[in-house]
Amino acid sequence: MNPTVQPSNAIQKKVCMVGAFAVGKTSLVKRFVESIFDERYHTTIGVKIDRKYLTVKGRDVNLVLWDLAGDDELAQLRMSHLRGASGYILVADGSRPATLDKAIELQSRVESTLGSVPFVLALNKSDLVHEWRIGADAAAALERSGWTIFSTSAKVGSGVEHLFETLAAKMLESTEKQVSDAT
Amino acid sequence: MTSELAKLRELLLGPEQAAIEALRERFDDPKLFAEAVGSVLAEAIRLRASGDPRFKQLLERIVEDVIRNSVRRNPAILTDALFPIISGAVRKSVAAALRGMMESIDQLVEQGFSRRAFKWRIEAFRTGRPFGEIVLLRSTLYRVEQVFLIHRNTGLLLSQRAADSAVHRDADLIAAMMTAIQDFVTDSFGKQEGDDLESFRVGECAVWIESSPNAVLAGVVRGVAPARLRRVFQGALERICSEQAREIEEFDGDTACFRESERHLDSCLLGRLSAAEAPGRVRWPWVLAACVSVLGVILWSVPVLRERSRWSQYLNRLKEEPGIVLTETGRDGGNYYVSGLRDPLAADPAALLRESGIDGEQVRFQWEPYVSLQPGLAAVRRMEVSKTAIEKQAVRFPVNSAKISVAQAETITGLVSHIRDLLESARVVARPVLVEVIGHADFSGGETHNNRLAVQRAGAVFAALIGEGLPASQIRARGAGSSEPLRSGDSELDKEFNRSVSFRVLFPK
Repeated sequence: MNPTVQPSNAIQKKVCMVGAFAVGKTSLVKRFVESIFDERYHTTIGVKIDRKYLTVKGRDVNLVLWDLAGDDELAQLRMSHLRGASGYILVADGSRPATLDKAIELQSRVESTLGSVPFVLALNKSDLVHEWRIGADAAAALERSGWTIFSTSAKVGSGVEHLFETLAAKMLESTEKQVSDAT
Repeated sequence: MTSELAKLRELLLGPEQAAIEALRERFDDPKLFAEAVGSVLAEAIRLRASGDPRFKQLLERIVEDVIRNSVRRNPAILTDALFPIISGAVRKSVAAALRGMMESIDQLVEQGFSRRAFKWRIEAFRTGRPFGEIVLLRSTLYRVEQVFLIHRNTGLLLSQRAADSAVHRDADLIAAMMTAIQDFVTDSFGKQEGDDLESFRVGECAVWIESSPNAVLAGVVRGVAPARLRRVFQGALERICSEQAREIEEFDGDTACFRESERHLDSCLLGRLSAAEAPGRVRWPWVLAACVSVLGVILWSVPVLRERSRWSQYLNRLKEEPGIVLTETGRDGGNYYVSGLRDPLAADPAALLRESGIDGEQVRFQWEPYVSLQPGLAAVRRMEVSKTAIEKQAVRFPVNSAKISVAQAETITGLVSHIRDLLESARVVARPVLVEVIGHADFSGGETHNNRLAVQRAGAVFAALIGEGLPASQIRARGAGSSEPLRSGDSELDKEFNRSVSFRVLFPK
């Protein structure tokens, strides 16, 4: 959260954030990232760029976060913005089951564009646990099929840091795997 | 026995024999062998190519030969295959060239009629270079402040350089946002594959973008840069893409290897300051020539200007001089001439000429005499009249007496009147004047006596004049004894004339 000095030898990764409309994507990461752009970028060009520095497994990583405008009937997700992403964060609202369905749909759309790249799902608004409408079994089913799921809260900030670290670690592993495959 | 042995061999080695048979069949049957090799061929080539550079060279040669043969046999096949790429590339290149030309023409038209443009035309004429080139050279003030090298696919920043060595801290965000904007513009307005956003401008700042299939070079340009700057960007990007093709293609987030490209980015950090700031533009021979001619003009013009100034001052003085009216002045050949009217009492124009420092030989005068009614001259004229009248007068005395007789009272009254006129006129022309009262005695009697008598007589007249109210400061009395006789004869009449007081009017300097 403190302003970080960018390490010159940091690994750069493009990460997209996608989710249904009003699931709190932007507010989820707001307190954890550095940004120089206004919220209005979402409505004008459909994306807002933020940055998150991390140190994972002793390596400095700079996540360039493409926070894409919510997908709904009014605003179509611009698939061109996904290009080149090393990983992505799906965001759903724990109190609106439809947003989880949307996340599942988005996952398959993103995967058809990007191929199989690391991703995590953030089930947001975990501070409103008593309002949760998503059953534990639905989440468990997704986890069984290989999804990594985090309960997060933009309000209290729980889980967000861990979410970034996990995704960054997955992406580094993926890169290393590609490198070892290639040799 | 043999059959048993064969049976045993079949029992022990049967499966291996079948496998050997199958392998032999696979090697012997061309179709099966091709299938077997084909299944590993791609992987085999990849492994071989990654370890052995000679293999790559060999492949290159084969591919080149194949292409050459194909073109020789039927060029249409390759033409058809390349057409979509080439037509796009040609269209893009032509469009870029046209746009560059339009920008140049815009600038030319804008700047073609200004004062600076005139200067540039002279420079073009002087140096023999085309006018357009001079305009580009002189008119475009710009500075490339920052250059970003961006990975096209991810929008991640590969490298950045800045003119003042202070790199932008948020360059990674800007690079990503720029890529997003480029995607947005291309999605919204691009009609063809490969149509890219090429520049955008905010105030006096513009971002110029050059794209290649895998990398984007974006330069932040302040001011109006010439169109040829785009060629510099293109060149730098092409060099980077050819030198680091592999690194760009396989980029996985590690930017360390792109330090190599910094020198190419640095070559884009161009700029031109204003003509005044540009060093080394002064051309000394021209400056020297200009100095010499300026000096020559000064040397030639100073005496001429000084003489003209003196002449005009002199004419002004003549015009102001009372009693002089100029009717014509001018220059005839190398000499000046002056014609006009001149009162004989007026100042002498030749004397004034000497005072003004002009050579008298250079000036020809032609004066017509006249009488001026100018107040100053009229006063002088009256002064002359009064002087004559005063100096005609004499106050007579009886023998051995210094007492003014009653008969002489009238003479005194007339004198006072003349002296008053004289002083008044002198006051008008502010000229100092003094009336001298001179006492005389005849030759009879001793010299000492005569002297005393003369002083007494002058004193008596002086007292009479002061008594009439004339100022003592402008009247002086002295005794001349018998040394300044009014008449030199010895007759009684002569003696009577010499027993007197006479008057002289003096104009002290």
